[in-house]
Amino acid sequence: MNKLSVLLFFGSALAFALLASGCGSSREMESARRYIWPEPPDSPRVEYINTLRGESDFSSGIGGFFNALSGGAVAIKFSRPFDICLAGEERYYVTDATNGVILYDTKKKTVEAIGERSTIDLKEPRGIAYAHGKLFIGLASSKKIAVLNDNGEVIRAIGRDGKFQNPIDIVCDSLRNRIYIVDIKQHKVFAYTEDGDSLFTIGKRGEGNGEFNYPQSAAVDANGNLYVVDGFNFRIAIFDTNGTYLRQFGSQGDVYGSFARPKGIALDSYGNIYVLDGVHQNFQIFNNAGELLMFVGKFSYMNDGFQNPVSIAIDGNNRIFVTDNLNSRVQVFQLLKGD
Amino acid sequence: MKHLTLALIMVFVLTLVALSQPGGKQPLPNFVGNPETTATNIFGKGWGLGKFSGGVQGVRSAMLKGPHDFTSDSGKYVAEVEFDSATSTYDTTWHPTGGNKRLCSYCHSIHITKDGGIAVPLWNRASQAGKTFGKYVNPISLDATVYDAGTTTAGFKDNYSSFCLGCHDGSVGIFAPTAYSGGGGVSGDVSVVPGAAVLSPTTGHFSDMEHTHPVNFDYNAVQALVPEELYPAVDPVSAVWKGYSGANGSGGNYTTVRLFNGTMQCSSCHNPHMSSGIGTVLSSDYGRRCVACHKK
Repeated sequence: MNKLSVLLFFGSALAFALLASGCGSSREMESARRYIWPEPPDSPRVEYINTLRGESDFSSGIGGFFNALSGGAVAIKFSRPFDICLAGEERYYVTDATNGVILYDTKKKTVEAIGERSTIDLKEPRGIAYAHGKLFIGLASSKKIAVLNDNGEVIRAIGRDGKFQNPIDIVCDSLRNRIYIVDIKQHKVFAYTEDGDSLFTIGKRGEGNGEFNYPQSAAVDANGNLYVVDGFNFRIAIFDTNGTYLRQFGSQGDVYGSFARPKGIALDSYGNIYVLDGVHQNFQIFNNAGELLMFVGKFSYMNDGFQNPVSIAIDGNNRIFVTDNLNSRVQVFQLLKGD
Repeated sequence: MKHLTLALIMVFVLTLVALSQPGGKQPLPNFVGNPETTATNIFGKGWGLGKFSGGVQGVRSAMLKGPHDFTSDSGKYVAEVEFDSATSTYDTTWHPTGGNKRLCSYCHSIHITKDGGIAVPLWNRASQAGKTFGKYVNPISLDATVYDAGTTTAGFKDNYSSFCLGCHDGSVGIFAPTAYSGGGGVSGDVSVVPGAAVLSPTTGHFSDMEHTHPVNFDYNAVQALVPEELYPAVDPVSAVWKGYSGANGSGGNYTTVRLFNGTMQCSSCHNPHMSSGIGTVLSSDYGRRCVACHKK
């Protein structure tokens, strides 16, 4: 280790220690402040409630820091969180570019890299989804979908022939025992049963109705309609349960309601549509008619924004989870009033 | 004395002549590093912009069907933006009906008003009516000053690299560098540079996790701490990269490691306007690229 490395190490270690111990002054101010959108005089709709960083959330973090210095096990933390799925209200799975698949359990207060006890290689995980006790992980390395049970045991693989070039997002339609796999490289969305049987395929590269140009993610509404973020067509395309194209909304630009680099998508219990944008550094909320309701976030390392958010998920209580990629964290918000 | 004066005048004139030659052999002011490396490479493989004559046109033709051509009908590109050399500005008359033929706009996000108007968010009519997200009124949106327009947290670094990492996060491209420094609250402080990931030989900026390099940090601030390891930046203050500026693009000649407002970024070493490959600057000799900054 040369001097530069040592310097960078201790510099960053010091910064980490200060952050972990919460003694930074900006940190204290940060925790005392409330973040609510929109600003007055409009009535509040969304509030920031929590940040998830890793194992240090459940301890002082200092122990893990010294442990790491002495050569012990390094505390697991989000480094480049990519996709997130919610397995109930207390357990969250996150794919991370550096740390593989992470299980964040708020009930047991544990954070675990599940790849370490998996019987197959979970390298380069991308999209992830959970339904009926099954965890679906899109693997860019082996180009297939690994299906795991709650114990982390592999029970199935989907797409053995390298069918999925880059399974960037997976979404479950749990009412219909169905999963959708978004493949950004093939510009297609694949519909499968949870048991791994192929149902149908949506789209091909292009800009016509029902075609995609780098599809980024998808979400399913209460009726089973599929919402696909069509990244470089800068729009949200909507399909019915047969995969038939219904409609689309959205356009490219920097004005409110438009997209520059749309990424993740999710729906709340009211059917409102949340779309992350990696250039606008926010999520915009649309009603089901595609009209803009409001947006949350800007380019920031504080709790008022994001640095390259990738994925968004919303639970049954309308808590909103965003993987904040370059800030190495998951941001949690609460929808206060959504009708 | 008279000869000396004449000689000085000659030097002056020759310098002027050299400087006035687009793509000429004058040393670039805005590079990092090792004088030996830059001297031997300054006429070598360029960063791209200077390599393609014709400014924006040249860049555009070079990019067509390249790794960063995201048009859905790759190759059927139609002209959509023109550079006005008189005012050094761009005609931003984009073509809203042009579908995906906007080659530049996938990265250089553009200002488009939807149907000629601006949507008013229904939930925050009072506080946000009639605005845009604001960062991209300038189509050359990679200019750092765009971030100062009240859209971001004060003291934020010039996160040029975040433009790259928005796709190079595992979605479109390769995984992101683990050693990106995104601020973290201590603006300008080198202690927020990299994360511990910098030291790890097993993590890195490709998915094979073999190589690692930090980005988005103040180069000279780090260099001052380890002068025996790094060459100082030659002219970091004015090293604001002005891609297409100058004589219709030729001013963007880019033949060495380059800083952006004094910061190391992805595009310090990679030319995003490449026609193929990964667009690394300097020669393909890997060691030579390293020693542009590193003394050892």
